Order: sequence, then C-alpha cells, then structure tokens
Amino acid sequence: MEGIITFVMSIVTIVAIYSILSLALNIRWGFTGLLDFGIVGFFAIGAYTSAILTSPASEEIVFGFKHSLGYGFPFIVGFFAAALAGALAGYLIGTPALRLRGDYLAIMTIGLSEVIRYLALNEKWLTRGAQGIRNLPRPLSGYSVILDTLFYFILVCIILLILYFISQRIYNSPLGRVLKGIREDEIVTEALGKKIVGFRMLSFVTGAAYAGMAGSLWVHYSGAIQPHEFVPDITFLIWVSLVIGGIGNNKGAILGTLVLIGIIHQGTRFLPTIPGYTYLIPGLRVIFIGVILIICLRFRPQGLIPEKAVKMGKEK
Amino acid sequence: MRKAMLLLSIGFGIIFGGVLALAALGLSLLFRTVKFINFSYGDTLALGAFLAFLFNVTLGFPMFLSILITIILTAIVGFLINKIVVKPLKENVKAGPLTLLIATMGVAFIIRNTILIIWGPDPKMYKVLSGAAMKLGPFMVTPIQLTAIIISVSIMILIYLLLQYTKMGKMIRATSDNIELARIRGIRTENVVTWTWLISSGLAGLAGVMVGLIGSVDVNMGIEMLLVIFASVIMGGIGNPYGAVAGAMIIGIAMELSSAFAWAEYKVAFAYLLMGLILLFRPRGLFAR
Amino acid sequence: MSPLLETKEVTKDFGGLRAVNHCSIAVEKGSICGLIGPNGAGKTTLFNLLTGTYKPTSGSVYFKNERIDGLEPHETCLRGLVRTFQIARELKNMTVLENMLLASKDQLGEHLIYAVIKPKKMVAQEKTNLEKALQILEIVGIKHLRQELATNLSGGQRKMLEVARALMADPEMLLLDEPTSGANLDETKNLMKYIETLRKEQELTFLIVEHKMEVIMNLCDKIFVMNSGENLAEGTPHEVQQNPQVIEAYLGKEK
Repeated sequence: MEGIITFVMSIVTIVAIYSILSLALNIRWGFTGLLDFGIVGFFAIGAYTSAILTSPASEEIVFGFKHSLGYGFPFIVGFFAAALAGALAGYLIGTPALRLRGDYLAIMTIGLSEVIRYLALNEKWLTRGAQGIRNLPRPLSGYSVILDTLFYFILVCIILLILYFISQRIYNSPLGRVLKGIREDEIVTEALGKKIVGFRMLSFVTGAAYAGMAGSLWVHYSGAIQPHEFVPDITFLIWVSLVIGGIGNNKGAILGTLVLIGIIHQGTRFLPTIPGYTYLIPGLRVIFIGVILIICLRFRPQGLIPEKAVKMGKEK
Repeated sequence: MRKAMLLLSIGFGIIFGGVLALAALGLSLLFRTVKFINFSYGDTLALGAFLAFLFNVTLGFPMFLSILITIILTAIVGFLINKIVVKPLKENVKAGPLTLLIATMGVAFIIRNTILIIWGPDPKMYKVLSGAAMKLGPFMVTPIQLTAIIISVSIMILIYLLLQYTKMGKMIRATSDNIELARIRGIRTENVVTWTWLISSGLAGLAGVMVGLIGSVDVNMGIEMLLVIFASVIMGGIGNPYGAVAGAMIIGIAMELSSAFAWAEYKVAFAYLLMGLILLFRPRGLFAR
Repeated sequence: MSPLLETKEVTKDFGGLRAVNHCSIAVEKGSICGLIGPNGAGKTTLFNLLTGTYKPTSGSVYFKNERIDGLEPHETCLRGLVRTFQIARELKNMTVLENMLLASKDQLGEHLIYAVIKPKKMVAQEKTNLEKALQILEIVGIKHLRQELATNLSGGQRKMLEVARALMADPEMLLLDEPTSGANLDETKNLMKYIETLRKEQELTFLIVEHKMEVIMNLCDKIFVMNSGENLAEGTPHEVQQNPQVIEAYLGKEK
C-alpha cells in the first residue's frame, strides 16, 4: 500500500513540475504568441542555480577539477534564487532575441537552450560537468522518507496552484488582453498605444521565472542534476502537452501535461526493458508522442480545452 | 606551429563549409518554395547518414552505390513528410507556417528516435578506404575529405544548372517567387512543391553521408547540423539559397577557427553566437534579396 | 492659431520608388478633412508616416506643435493621434468588447503587479472603461455583438469596430482609412452623423481617406487631393470639385 502511495505521489509531483513548465510556455506562446523552442534552457538555469546554491560545499577533486562550489543554503534560498536567475536570464536573453519575429525566434531559442546545455557540460568548475551534482536537499531531508516525500509533494502542488492562480489573473486582466492583442495582431496593438517590446519582454521574463522555479523543484525532487537532462526533448514534451491541452488556456496546459506526462510518459515508465533492445521502449514512446502531436494538430488543433473568449463580467 | 594549426583549421573549415553549404542549399531551396521552416530537415540528414551506414557497412555495398540508394530513400522520406503531414495540415486546418514548424518538429523527433531504436546511440563509421593526407596548395587533405568536397560542390553546381536552365528549375523559381502568379500561368504548383521536397530531402540525405564521411555518424547529428544549417541560412539571408552557401562557408571556417584557438567544445555554440550577432544587426542576413 | 496636424515637405522613398513626394498639408483643430486620390496615390503611406509606422526620408510631421516623425506608432497614439486601418484589423480571437477595452489608455491592469493583485482601483477603472465602451458600441450600432468574437462580424461591422476602438483610445485627432468601405447605406449615414457629433461635442479633429464621394463632399470642411504621392490640390469640397487637375486625375474614377 505504501509503495503505491509513494508511486502515485511521485508521478503527481513530476506532472505538477512539468505543468509549471507548461504554464511558462503558455504565457509565452499561448498568451503572447512568442514561438519559444528553448524553454528547457531556462529550466536548466533555474535547476543549476538551485543546485549550486544548495549543494553541500565540497573540495572534491573530480576529473582533475577542483569543485569547490556549493554553498549549502537551504532549499528555499535555492528556490527563490532559481526564480530570480530565470527572470534575469530571461531579461538578458530576451533583449536581443525578442527582436526576432516568429520562426527566427524559434531557431534562436532552441540554439540558446543548447548553448546553455553546452555550458553546463563544459564549465566543470561551475557545474561539475557531466558528473553533475548530487545530494541535493529537500526541506525535510533529515526526517523520515514518508514525511519528506509527502511534504515535498504537497509543497510542489501548492506552488503549482499559486502559479496557476497568478497565470489566470494575468490572463483575465488588461495585461492579458494586451498580450493576446500582441498574439493576434502586433501592428494593431501597437497602433492602439501599447509598447510591444516591453510587453513581450514581460511575458518572456515571467515565463523564464516560472521555468526557473520548475527547475529548482525538479532537481530537489530528483536529488541530483546532470546536463544531459536538459535536452530539447523536454521542450518538445511541453509543446505537445500544450497542443493536446489547448493552447492559450491554463487549465488546458495542466490537463495536457497530465495526459502527456502523467499517462503517456510516466505511465509507461515501468514497461520492462527488452534485453538487447534498450532503446526500443523509450524510442517508441517519443515516436508515439510525435505522432500524437501531428494527429492533434490535424484533427483537434484547439486542444482538449479550447480557448474560451473572455466574456466581460456583469453588465446590462 | 600556429600557422600550421591555422591552415589546418581553415582547410578543414573549407571542407566542412562545403558540405554544410550543400545541406544549407537544400533547406533554403525548400523554404523559398513552401515558405516555412522544415524542422525535420536535420534529422532527415542524419537519416541519410545512417542509411548509408546500413548499406555500406551492414550490407557491404560499395560506398558509391550506398550513397545513390540513400539519396533516393531520403527523397522518398521527404515526399512522405509532405504527403502525410504537411499537405493534410495545410488543406484541412489551414495550418500556417508556425503550426507547420511545430508539426515538423514532431517529425524530427520521430525520425531521431527511429534512428535511436534501430542503431542505438553509439557513433558509427563508414567502411571506406582512408588514405593519408596529401598536400593541396597550402592545405592538407585526405582523399575522403577531397571526395566529399568535390561531390558537394559538383552537386551544388548541378542544382544551380537545374534551377537556371531546366524547365523544372524555372517552374521552381516561379513558384518560389509568387505561387499565385505561377498558378495563373499554368504551372502545376502542387507538383513543383512535391519535386522541391524530393530534391531538398535528397540533398539532405547526401549531405548527411558527406558529414559522416568527414566526421562521424551519430544519433544527435541531426539537431546539431540543423542548428548550424540554420546559422548558415540566416547568415546568408533567409530565402536566398546562394547566400546560404556563402553563409555556410563562413560559418564552417569560423567554427573551425574558433575551435583551434579557443573553445573546441563550443564550436556549435560559437556558430550560434555568430548567428545571434548577425540577427541582431542584420536580421535579413548578409546577402538578403 | 497653428494647425493641429501639419506635414512639411514630407517625402518617403522605398528603394527607387518615391511613394510620397514633398507633401505638405495642414489640418486645423476641430475640422473634418478628407484625403482623396486614385489608388496608389500614397494616401495610406501618408497615414503611416503620420503615425510613425514609416519614418520619412525627408521632411517633418508636427502634431500639437510637437515634432512627431521620429516617434514609434504607440507613442503617436498616446499623444492623441489615433488611426484606423484600410482593411479592418480586428483582433480575431477576441470579443468585440475585448477589442474595445484593449484600446483604453493608462490601464493600471496592464502592469503585472496590478494584474495579479487586482486592487479596487483597477477594478473600478475597468468598470469605467467598460461603460465607455458600451456607450460607443451603442452609438455605432454593434452593442448587441459585444460578446461576439470579432472574426464573426460582417465587413461593415468590422469597420465600425475599427472606428469605435479608435475612439476608446482618447484621441484628439482621428485618422480614418476608408471607414465606410463595406458599410451599407444606413451604417454609412450613421457614421457620418457620429463624426459630426464628435466634432461638435468633443472637438475631435478628423482626417479621412475615402472613396465614396457623397461622404467626402457632405462631411468635410476641407479636402486634400493626392496623386502619385504628391499633394495635387486642396480646398473646400466645392473648390476641389471644380479643379480641372482633380477632374483629370479622377477621369474614370468616380463614386
């Protein structure tokens, strides 16, 4: 019984963390129409910031590199620092990148996310390279496993709810209106007095902060971090989640993530590995997801939960 | 010593640039005609590399034959992508370029994971006679490298001749410039699009084999090459195939130089940095139409 | 009194093509001016120069005595010079009401903190903007469509939305690009009356591009005629009608 509970909690935790990433992409693409193929890069930045700040200090010599980083800060410091680092990176990257239109932005962002991964892989003094950083703490690390897992699970869910709430508020506010206006027709929105550059940046940075937070939650969930985790495949999964769930709306983002990550990705986690064909199941999984993406785009482009027009409140 | 390294880098840069140019030409050609970015191009290139491995190493065919079969097969893959994914989306849900970009990203992952399932993640090498490096002018090249660049340049010239002087080439150019006008003038633009997919994907496959010849074949080469191809195409001015060729040479040489003098691991990142800078100051590329 | 809007020898080249050639016009505050000319005369280009969408190759644009030709389109809008588009650019997947509310200026809710916290100030402001929007929608006759997605509107209704939306932005002067194209007779009459009312009650100034002669002749105090990027003639409707050059330019191009 205990095993099943922890298993379900772990799946929900993973889905919740990925949902935050979906919300992040939704702010950029769903709300504002920014074609972002590099969300995993900000995930990585948040993850590494949190990992570096919270890992215990060590003077280990690894592959000839002395890694003395690790400040031993508590989880909460790592978490907020990850949000800030994400936002800051969003600002720095966004300043040049957001000048690009549509597909150019897509190319730029995927390139940047790969550059970030190269940095993580090669700047061993900072990130310990391919070896990665281990022994990352959680808030209740010292206590019993059940308590620790349960507390973390609840924490992640609460954070997801808060971020969902914030996303909803944004969507239904005048700010959301401007972002949607930019998505629909930049020229008109600008002609109506809105400074496009500023709003695109706001959307980009907010998405970056969300992704950073997701990164922090992720590494503390898994307890370790390695560069090879932060590959474009994650960006791909989030995109498919959004397409399935319904672009432009937050409920859809979470539902899509639940379906894709929860059922399809994690649900097949325990399929046996066929000896001699190690890559068969993982490969088929991605192929299946790719096929779902295309089928969804073809037959239900509006997703499971289509975007509903915002009906203004009570008036005559 | 420095000079030798410099020459070595530039030499290999030219070789790589030439192969990259072939790849960039293919993508640029397609983009000009269909007006959206085929995100699965890089992985089609990788597929080509792996197919050649299948024929050359696994089945033992001579390299030349393997290349020929590979080109035909990758061309067919391109044809299928258009027929199964792109056309239905365009016709039934009026998919725009952004949606098609996302859809072809899906195709890219499908191809990449098919490669992973069949061949696994370890790098592969072809079975070709490798000769010692010879001196060619100020550079040192191996026969394989020389072959690769000769093939690449020849095919690029062939494509140029095709576009300029054949009926199909003229139809492709007309469709690229203005599809409505082309249709009015009686050109069967659907056929033109199909042919462009065939040519573009065939070029991708060929380029993939070339990359495999001068380097290695591994499952991640698709995305890596795609990023570098993007850099070339954008540098050269998107929509200008010959600009892409020039862009590829610049990127190829720059990448090798950067790896010689500084960060070898950051070769691709450097190409990206270069592309980013170009985009900032000349978003239309160096040789935009 | 100096004119509200003035261009001085404004010129725009696109590569080798000169779209607008040393065009000088002056629009007085509170006047309704027309801008007519054959297709390709440079009217929309001129509008784009006025709003900052294009920067002039030479010459200058003044609004309220301030030079505005270097500004960005959102800045000219904020200064009170608001434009509509020749082909209606409704925000398709947003409702008519959302389209309207987008255009209001100085919305507190456009700031992240306010959007998330939703203080009373912001809610009150939304309410005020909503009332204003409903008022305007009522006058142009599309209030009943307020919750409809803009993409579901007819051509004429979309043009009405264009104008209504522009009014939400608190303009001092409106640049209307073919506001009645696609509108039926009633809608056209309605709009003409509304423009007159706005001029009278709010001292709004108008520069209108139009092809429908009865609209131009009956509504405008002054008409500018453009041809091949140049300011061919200007004057009252009567004067312009008699002008031989104008007649020649318009040969075969009436209604």
